[in-house]
Amino acid sequence: MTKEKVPNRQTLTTWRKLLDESHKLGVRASQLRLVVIKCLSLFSLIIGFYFFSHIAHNWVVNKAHGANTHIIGMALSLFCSWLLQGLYNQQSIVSKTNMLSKLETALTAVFSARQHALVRQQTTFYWQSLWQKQSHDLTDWALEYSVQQTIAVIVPLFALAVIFFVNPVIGAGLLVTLPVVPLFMIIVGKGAAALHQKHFIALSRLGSMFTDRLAALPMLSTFQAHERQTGLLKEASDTLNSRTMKVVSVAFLSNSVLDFFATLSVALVAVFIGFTLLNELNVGPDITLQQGLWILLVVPLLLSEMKKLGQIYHQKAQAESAMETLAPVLVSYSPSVEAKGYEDKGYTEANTEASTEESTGSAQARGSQTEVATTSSAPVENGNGFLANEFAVFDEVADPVQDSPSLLTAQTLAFNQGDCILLSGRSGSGKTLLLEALAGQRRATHRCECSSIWLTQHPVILPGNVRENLCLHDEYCDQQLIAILEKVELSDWLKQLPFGLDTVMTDYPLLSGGEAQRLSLARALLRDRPLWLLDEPTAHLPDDQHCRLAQLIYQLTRDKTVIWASHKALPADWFTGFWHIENKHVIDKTELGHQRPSGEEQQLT
Amino acid sequence: MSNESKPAYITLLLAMLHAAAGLSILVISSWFIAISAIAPVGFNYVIPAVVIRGLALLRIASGYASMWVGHKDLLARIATVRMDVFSQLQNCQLEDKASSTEALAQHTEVLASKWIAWVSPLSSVLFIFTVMCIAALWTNLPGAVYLVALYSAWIILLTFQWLSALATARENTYATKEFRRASSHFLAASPIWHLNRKKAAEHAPSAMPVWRQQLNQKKKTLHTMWMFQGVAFALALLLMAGLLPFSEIAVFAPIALIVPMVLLAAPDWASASFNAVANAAQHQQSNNALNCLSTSPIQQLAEKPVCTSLQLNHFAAKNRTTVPVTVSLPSTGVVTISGVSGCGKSSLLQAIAGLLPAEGERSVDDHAISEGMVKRWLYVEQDPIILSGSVKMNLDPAGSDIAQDTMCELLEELSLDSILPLTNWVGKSGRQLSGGERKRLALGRAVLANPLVLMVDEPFEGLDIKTQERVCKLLEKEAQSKLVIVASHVLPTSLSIDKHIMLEEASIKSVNQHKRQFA
Repeated sequence: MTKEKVPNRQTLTTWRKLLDESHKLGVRASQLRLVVIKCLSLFSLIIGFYFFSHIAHNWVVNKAHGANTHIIGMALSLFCSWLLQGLYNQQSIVSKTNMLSKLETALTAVFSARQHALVRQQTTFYWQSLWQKQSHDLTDWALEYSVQQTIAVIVPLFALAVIFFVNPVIGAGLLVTLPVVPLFMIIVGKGAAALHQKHFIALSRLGSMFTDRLAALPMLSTFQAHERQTGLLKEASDTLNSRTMKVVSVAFLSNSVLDFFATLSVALVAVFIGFTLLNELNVGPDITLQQGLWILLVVPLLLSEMKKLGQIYHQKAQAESAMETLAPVLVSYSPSVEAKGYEDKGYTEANTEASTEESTGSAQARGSQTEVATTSSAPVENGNGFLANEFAVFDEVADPVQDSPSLLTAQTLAFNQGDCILLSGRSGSGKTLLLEALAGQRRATHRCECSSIWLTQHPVILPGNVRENLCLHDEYCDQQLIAILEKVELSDWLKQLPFGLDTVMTDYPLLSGGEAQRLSLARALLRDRPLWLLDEPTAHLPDDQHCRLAQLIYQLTRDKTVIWASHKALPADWFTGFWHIENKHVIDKTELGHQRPSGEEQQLT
Repeated sequence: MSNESKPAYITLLLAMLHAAAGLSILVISSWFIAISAIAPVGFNYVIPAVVIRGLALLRIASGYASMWVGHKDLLARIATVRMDVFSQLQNCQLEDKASSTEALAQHTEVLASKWIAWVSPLSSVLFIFTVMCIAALWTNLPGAVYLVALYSAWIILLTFQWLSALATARENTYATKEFRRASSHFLAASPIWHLNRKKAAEHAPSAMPVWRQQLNQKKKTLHTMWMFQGVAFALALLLMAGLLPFSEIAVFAPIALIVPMVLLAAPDWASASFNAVANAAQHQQSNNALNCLSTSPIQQLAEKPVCTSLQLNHFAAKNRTTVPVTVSLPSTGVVTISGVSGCGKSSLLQAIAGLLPAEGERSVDDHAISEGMVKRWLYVEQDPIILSGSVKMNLDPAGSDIAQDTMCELLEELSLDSILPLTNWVGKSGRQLSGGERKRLALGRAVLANPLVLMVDEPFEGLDIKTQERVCKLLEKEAQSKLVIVASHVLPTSLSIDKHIMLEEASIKSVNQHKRQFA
């Protein structure tokens, strides 16, 4: 039988702790506060019941109004209970808002640090649901389910103590039967889990069928397959339903066990008290009406909080799936990395690895990798160069608890200010990885800390106008913008635009691939940064365009340090160094003479 | 319809029974204890004791039954709603992508859960509350007025909650849409975040407005519950203190305890109704969303074999900045379209297949054909969709009884034998396919459907040379009997090409030129 990767409660709590420590979410404190408030509210309610039972006793037995002290006591304790409940509601919302905004800050900080290297790994939809939905699921679990879990343990104990105090016989009876409830629930839960396990594959396959076929609508109509698939869908949902009912029938028993004990305990306690009052039963001490009523009112509290827990049980399952995706992203990164600053100049002996390790408190630190980090080269103090020995790039969103293999290694990597290095390798060999590591967007032993510029294969055109596309959040005067557009040979294009710099770029902007790349080149040129990382900026252009644009880039970046990944032909005399990636290893081929390594230009991506 | 709703009504009935039994136990128990304390002569204690135990069993049984029936009904409803939506979408295209299919699945769930999410909890509380008030007034129960007062407060609070819940649900939908839009733009710009003076975190959109609306909904529910609790406690207190002048508590009989007990327990037994109101608002929202589902129909045209030629005259996909093409394609052979990425190869292919609205003219054997998807003109996407299902299902989605041997042979030709046997489950929660495998599986699917015209978008991307050659061979074989159009920015040397179209790069210049030319 295959073992499904379902995290248990232990790991969910462990993750929560990890997140709490690395991002200072303050969840633990909020949880404690909520538990205390809610318990206090329920305690005052129990005290309120005490006064109520006194007044009732006076009514029925003494045929008189309640004593003033009792009435005031009841008023005060009910009022307290009510106020505390209001405070609980308010605190619950406030701490949720806090946690959400902290999670969002943490997530956007990860975005800031890892940037495109992280974002490009998943679809936009993935990030959106991680951001909006899963953070919310996690918060619900941490500040609702977890809190209720603690309350469901404390309140019954307190209620039991009260009952014991009033009447030890009833208390003992309940004490004996109460542990049976969780026991039964565990047995039933295990049974349901086993059934779920048995149907797991079928349930997950059939369950996702509807969305799967919805996504395939156009394909289904081209193949005239809609009717057939409708039939299949119907069949699938019938099977799914009958299988789900099998699992659910058992799972509901758990709920019924609770209901059974909750209802029966009230009923039996009532009968017992009644019979004792009637002197039909003579077990234990005598009971007054006041005591009897108080017990009757307190007994439901034994299990009502547990029932409420059952009602929000889905939060746990949702949090588990949220943790699976959210935790690796957040835990693999901690604020201390960012504290090092993004704009630092010069060399760093980047031991981000070690600091991540420490701050996340991961006990299972990867000894070998930490070693690598500490043995990295001593910094060389001249300009914006780079030197790295025993260089390694690690998997970004790997489970931090497990050992993540390095994605790319190098014996020695070095360049000086003003160097121009050609990076070659088959597509998929890791050229982009290396550039990302150098820019500090990926976890690696070293990174170049001088500020850099990236050009990717696919130029980004923002939905705003041309000016916004160039300026982003900086300010440049129109002359500067026009001058830069002239430099990248876009003057003609600019003249054709109906509103010049104010022309808004639509979903399908009036730009050819080459023009779009020039626009992004202009955007980069506006920002004077020493290091240029070029990730095949001409890959998608036809040969003549590629030559013209490459020439342009070469001329415009002559005074910069450039690392240029390309598998299209570029003149060798442009470059001062040649790196080649093969089998996850970067080889410095500069010494071998200025010939281009061969055999890599077979494929385009 | 009535047969379908039967389980729903049974659920409702059982839920009412469950709630009523629970409250009755409390009421009868307290009365029983009270009367036992003063033990009148000839008091028959056996009957109430039996009734209490009977009610307990009734409550347990009805609780389980209502859950069971309710869930079964829910599942059946989900199936029905989804089948309805799915049938409604025949030959349609959803305007949005991933987010909308997920949202659609969720909306159908909300719609189907109508009964257990709000109808039955709300009506069972309404039922017991109403019955209790009427019974209390009828029997002139001491404190009945307080019960009626609580009832009125409940109605008022629920009404207010309903109104604001509706508004919040609406705002939530709006905020979600806004966040999706803003975050899409934000995430798409990730390659240039580093150029920004501000860190990504500083100009990132926030999901806070969405969360705020969601929390708001919760807050309003909690608040209403809290107000209700306050009213119930206050009334209980007033009643017990005997403060209000019209209090009829002169009677001091055991029966007088019933109303205060009900008042004190009110926050428990009435709480389900407040959650139900929030769910009802969500239901309303999902209902609206499903009603105004944005789809675009795909016009279906009858089969059109190409006997001599397929001509395109100033033909291009509509609303795209691509240069229109004028070309005549042969009835058989391999035609390749190449050009820079983004020049509109894919949209041209889709326009020819009729999957995208087009401008210009498309004619077969000199007869112009109207807009729409021509049957058996198959288009294989660049990133094809693989159904979550068996390999066989993916090769024959229409269930047209293609021989298994034919399928296996074809898979071998495409060097896809690694995904055999045909019963293998691929896609979601099955064997994950690589990009190249998906392309070839989709190509196999198209070939098996025996198309009249076969259009393939970037078939060679991500394939090694040997596999590329195999794909070329297959395309050439198909091209002997039909027109095969291949759009690709790499063309393997081994592919024998009958006609090559080089797409001009669309830019503002070329588009303007064309506009001038054909104005």
